[in-house]
Amino acid sequence: MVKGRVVCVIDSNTELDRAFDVVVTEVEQGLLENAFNSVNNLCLLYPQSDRVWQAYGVIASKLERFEEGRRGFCRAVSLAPFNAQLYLDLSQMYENQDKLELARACLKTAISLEPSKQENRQRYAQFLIKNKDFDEAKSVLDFSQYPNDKFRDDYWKRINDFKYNKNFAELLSLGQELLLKGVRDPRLNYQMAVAFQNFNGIEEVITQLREVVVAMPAFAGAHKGLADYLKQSVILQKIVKLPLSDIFERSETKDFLTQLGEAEAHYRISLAYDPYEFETYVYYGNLMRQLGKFKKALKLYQSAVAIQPDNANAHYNLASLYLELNENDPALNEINVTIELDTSFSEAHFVRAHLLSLLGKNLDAGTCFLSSMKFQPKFSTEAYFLD
Amino acid sequence: MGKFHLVTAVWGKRFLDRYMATTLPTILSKNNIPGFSQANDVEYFIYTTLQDQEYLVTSSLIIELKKYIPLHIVTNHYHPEKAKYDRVTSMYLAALKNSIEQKAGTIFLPPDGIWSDGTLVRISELAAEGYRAVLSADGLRVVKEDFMSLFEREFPRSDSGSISVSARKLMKLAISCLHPYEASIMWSAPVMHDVPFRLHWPVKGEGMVTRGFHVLPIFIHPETEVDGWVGALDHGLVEVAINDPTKIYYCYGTDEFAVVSIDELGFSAANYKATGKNQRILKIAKWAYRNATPQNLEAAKRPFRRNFVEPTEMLWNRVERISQKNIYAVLSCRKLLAISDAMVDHGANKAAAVLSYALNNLGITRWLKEPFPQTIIAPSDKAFTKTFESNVDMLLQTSERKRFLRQFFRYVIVGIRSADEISKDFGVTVEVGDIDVEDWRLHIIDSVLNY
Repeated sequence: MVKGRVVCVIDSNTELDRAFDVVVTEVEQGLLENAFNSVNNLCLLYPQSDRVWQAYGVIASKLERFEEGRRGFCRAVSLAPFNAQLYLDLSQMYENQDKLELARACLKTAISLEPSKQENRQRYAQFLIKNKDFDEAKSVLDFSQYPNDKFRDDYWKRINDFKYNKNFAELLSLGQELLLKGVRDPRLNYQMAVAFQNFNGIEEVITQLREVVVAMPAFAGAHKGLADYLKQSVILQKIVKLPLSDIFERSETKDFLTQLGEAEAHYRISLAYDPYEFETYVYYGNLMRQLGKFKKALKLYQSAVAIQPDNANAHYNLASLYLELNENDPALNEINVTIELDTSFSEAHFVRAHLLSLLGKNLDAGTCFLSSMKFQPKFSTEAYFLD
Repeated sequence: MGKFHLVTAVWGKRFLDRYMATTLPTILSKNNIPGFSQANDVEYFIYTTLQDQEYLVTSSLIIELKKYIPLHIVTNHYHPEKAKYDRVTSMYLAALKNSIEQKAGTIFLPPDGIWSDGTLVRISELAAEGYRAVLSADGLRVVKEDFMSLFEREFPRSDSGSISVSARKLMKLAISCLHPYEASIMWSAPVMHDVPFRLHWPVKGEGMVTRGFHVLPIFIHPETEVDGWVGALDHGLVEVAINDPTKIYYCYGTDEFAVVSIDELGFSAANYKATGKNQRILKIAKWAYRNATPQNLEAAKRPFRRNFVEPTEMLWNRVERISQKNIYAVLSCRKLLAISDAMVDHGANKAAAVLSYALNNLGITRWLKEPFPQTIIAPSDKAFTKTFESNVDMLLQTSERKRFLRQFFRYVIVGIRSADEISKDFGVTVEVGDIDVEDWRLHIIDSVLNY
């Protein structure tokens, strides 16, 4: 029994295809199993369409397949993170699964995205009242706080135009002006974070993303992004620390562990809201490895491989971690898969050379070293590079 | 009196702001544009966009600049369809062609640089001595977020808006705000960037020694027409513009002048990889083998002192000697990589694998103190019998390193030897002989050398 109603509507008014029409018809005729199979195929064909994933979520929920429904909405949210309706749908899924904290975060996120929509506020308030959080419910229903929709729509259109035209300087200039005026809109913070990326402003990206995750706690992508940048910031600062101590006597030491702990928390939250995101497993795994938590890293890498078995970086990470743990046989298996998937992966040839050398196959190792030297170094934040 | 064109390529508010905060005020200091323009015929060309022109001309610093030299704002060489770095290159090329036509030397002033007082006067002295290129391994990158507030506090602006910066003070501040890129190419760093176009060695309490493959041509007066070059200014320009190496001046360090380059912290963490000493040499060698021009290789042999105090000569000489040893190891390894490629090209894949193994796992990266000419003999694949292969597998064990090296060096001969000599001296048949790999020579033989 579906405890709540999922509001979204599947409409076929797009060019997506006639196939989508078939799904709609099947839903209308009550052929839900057929519709689910059809939409499942569409997900394979159009993995970048949030509407297809949304439809997948809706149909799965009608079939009371809540975990699959959750997957559909999670994917849809990851592709269209500013669509409030998707968070509302997702909150319903979580309510159905008695995951009330997650449901609450989704409702809060939806309100942040559409602050003047009364029915959403009422729904959130009802949820809060049901869960005995009366103060918060009162605050949610405080109608005096509603912003002006036209003003929001106007600047959001301008921000999107700047982004579309890659005019990031203007985007930032408008964004900063709006923030100074007291505008509170996590979409704005997010787009500013994107713009700052184009100017290499890592600390500015972090500042903006911190705002986003407070207002949109169910935005898994923002948690992941924040964690990534926190981690990168530490890596970059640590690079400088040691060489400088060879020149200056330095007493100040930065507390990198706090920042890495914060990154870890955001990866964890990100996976709680979207347990289907490949990159989060990889990056979280890399962080765990950096912190010496190898067992956790191994689990995360294995999850990443399960999600994307054709991803060379995922297999490489697993191989190099096995090597670090002196588990040479699985390491060799994984590195062979890596090289099959990406023959020009320089660092993978290097790891393979080491493994063969450990097995006493030194001449073969030499051939692998040779291959490693032949290719350019790989540039990827997904891979965990070994010496 | 020399004739000079100063050239800056800049567009976009962010970089214009940076230009106004760094390059422009520092080149307006007494011994830069004011002093330099008194003794020379100087014009300034700013290459920018139509859109940014207005912002530039209304600036008070630009008005100040125009008191000293004629300014030309050029807007017809901006190609938005090109990638960012290609846009800069096409502007610089246009500027250079213009300077050549007007028989002027070109001084490049990137928009994110801080120039110590006296830099331009020193460049004009060197030009007057007959140099056609002045190259500096400077342009040390610093983190904007850390550096700018300290810089503004340390070096206040004058009433006219100029900032006078002493080279040593600037260098000390810059090193304390070092960009991760620069830190990663310090010889002692535990990680290294994938593009090690220069290297640093720390000098405790006094600064650091730099050797750069890419060194910035701050001044260039080409001997010939220039139609383009490979990569950025500091990569391929000098190679195509100057034929006579005696006309190239390599700056020796901060006591001549200093230039610092402002940059964001960035987030290219994926380019920084853990690197032990042996791998460091190999990675730099590999990068140099694939990317460095002959002029780049020559440049890396020159040490550049970034001292922020009076240098203790003994200390600096020692670090310079170490850096020379390290750089020669890199250059020797680079040659071995070229040799290994030549082996593969001529049917000696297994010998190449042995060489590669030895470089990676047996630490032979440091066996050559100087990259002087050598002759290498390599057995062809046919010479690798099964018995020999298993012997090689044994010999390549770390515990057998000494034995391996004894055998290995039998295939390396100091100096250049012909195929006939090899055939006669070693009693082998040379399958492919006299393969010149730069100033080294390779012969592929049909058997292994007898013990």
